[in-house]
Amino acid sequence: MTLVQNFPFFCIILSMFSAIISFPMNHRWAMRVHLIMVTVVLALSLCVLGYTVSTGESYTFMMGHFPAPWGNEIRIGVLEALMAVFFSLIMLLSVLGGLAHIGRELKNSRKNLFFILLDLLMSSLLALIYTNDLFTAYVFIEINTISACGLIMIKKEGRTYVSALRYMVMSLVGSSLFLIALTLLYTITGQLLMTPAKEALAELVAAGEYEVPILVIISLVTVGLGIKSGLYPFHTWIPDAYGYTTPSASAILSSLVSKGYLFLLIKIFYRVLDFEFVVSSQVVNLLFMLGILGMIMGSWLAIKTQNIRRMAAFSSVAQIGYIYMGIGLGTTAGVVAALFHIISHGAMKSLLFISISGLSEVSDDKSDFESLKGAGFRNKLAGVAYTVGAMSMIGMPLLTGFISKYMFASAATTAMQGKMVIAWIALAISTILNTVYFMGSVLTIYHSVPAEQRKPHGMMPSRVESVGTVGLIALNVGLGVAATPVIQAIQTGLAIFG
Amino acid sequence: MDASYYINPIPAGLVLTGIVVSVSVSALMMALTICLYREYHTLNLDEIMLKLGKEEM
Repeated sequence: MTLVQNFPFFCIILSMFSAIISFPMNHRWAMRVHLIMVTVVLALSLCVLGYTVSTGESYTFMMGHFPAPWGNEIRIGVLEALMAVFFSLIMLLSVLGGLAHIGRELKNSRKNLFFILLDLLMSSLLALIYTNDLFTAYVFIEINTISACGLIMIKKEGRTYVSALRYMVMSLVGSSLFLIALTLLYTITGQLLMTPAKEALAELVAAGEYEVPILVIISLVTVGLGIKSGLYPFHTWIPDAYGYTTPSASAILSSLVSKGYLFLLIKIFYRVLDFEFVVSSQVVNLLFMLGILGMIMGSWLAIKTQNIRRMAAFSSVAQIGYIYMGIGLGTTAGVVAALFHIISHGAMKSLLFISISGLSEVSDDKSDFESLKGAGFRNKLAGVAYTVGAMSMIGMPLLTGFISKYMFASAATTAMQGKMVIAWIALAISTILNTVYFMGSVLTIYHSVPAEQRKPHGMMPSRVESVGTVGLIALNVGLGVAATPVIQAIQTGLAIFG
Repeated sequence: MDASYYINPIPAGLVLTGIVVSVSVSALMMALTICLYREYHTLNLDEIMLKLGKEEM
C-alpha cells in the first residue's frame, strides 16, 4: 500500500481534528486552521486523483482491524477523488470570497464556531464521498444536517431562526426515511457494507423473494435523500435557508450540502441496488418527472421574486431539477451529465452568491432590485463576476453552464423516445425562463444611473474577497473551456463505481 | 461456539447511534426554540409568521 492511498483517510481525520482543536482558539486562529486544512485537503485530494487516474481502478481502505463484511471501509476511485477535489476547491474559494463579510457580520465570539461548523461540514462531505458503509453514511448525513443548520442560523436574527427551523424539520424527515430504509435493508440482507449488501440483494432479487420490501427500500432512500437535496415538491426550505445568511455560508450551502446527498444517492443506486434494477423498478421515471417539474417551477418562481438572493436560491431549485432529470433518464450518459452538473453548478452558484454579496455591500446592504440598480458600476469586479455567473447559468458557450446543458441534451438522445422529447422541451423552456430572470438582473445591475450613484455607498470590497471571486470566475471559464478531461474522468470513474 | 448462543450486537449498535443522533438533534432544536422565544416572545408559529411578515414590510 503506497502512501498516497492513505490520503483520503488523512483528509477525513484532519478535518475532524481541526474542528476539535478550533474550540479553544480565538477567531483568527480558527480561520487560519480552517484555511490551512482546506488547502491541505485540496492538495491531498489532487494527489489521490492523480494516483487513481494512473491506476484506473478503485481500491478499498479498511478502517480498523476487521475486514469486510464485519468491519468498516472506505472506497476510493476516480469519481470519488474528483468530487473531493472539487468540493474542497469550491469550499476554499467560497470562504475566501466571503471572508470580509464573515469578519463584519458575525460577533467575534461566534466566528470560531462558524469555522468549526465549516470544518465539520468538510469532514462529513468527504466521508459521504468516500464511505462504503451505509450506516456510516447515515451518521455523516446527520453531521452534515446539523452543521448546515448551524451555518443557516449563524447570524442570529429572527429570520434565520425560522429558516433554520423549517430546514431542520424537513431535513430530519428525510433522514428518518433514509434510516427506515436502512433498517429494512439490514433486516432482509443482514449486511451494512455496500458491496456485500449488493451481492445479498442480487441473490434475493434472483430468487424473487422480498419484492415489495426491496421496492419500498428504493422508494424510501430516493424520497429521503430527495427531500434533503431539494427535489421539487420538497424545495420549500431552500429560499429561506440560502437567502438570509452570510455569503460564504450561502455559497457553501447551495453548492455543496445538497450535492453530498445527491452523490450518496447515485452511490447507493450503483453500489447497493444495481442501476439496471433501479431503472426497471420505474423509480427513475418518478425522478425524471419531478426533475422536469423542478426545472420549470423553480425558474417560474425565480422570475416572480424581487430579492436577488431569493432569486438565486430558486434558481438552485431549478438546477437540482436538472440533475434529477439527468439521473431520471436512466442511462449512463444521463448520470455522467448529472455528475458533471453537480460540479459545474457548484462552481456557478458559489460565484453567483459571492458576487451578489459584493453587489449588495456597495448598495447599503440591500438585496432588492430597486436598490441594486447600477450596482455593477459601483463594484466593477462583482458586476463582472455576476455577469459571468449569469451567462454560465443561461448556457453561453465558453462557460461551464453550456457544457452542462449540452451534456444533458446529448444524454437525452440515449434515453427512450418519449423521455428524449420531454427532456428537450423542458431544457428549452427552462433555458428561456433562466434567460428572462438572469438577463433581467444583469440589465438591472448595469442600469444607467447618474454619476453620483456610481460611487459605492457602503463598504469597499476587500482584497481577499477579490482573490476568491477571481478564482471562481477562473474555475467557471476553465471548466467551460477544458471540460473534456473532467468528463473523461467522470466516465472512467462511473465505470468502476459499482 | 455455536453462533445461535450469541445475540446479534448490530441492532443494539444501530439503536444506540440513533439515540445519540436524536439527543443531539433534540438539543439543537431546543436551543433554536429558546432563541425563537427570546426574539418573538411567543412559541405560536402562526404569530411568529405574522410578526415575520410585518418585519418584511
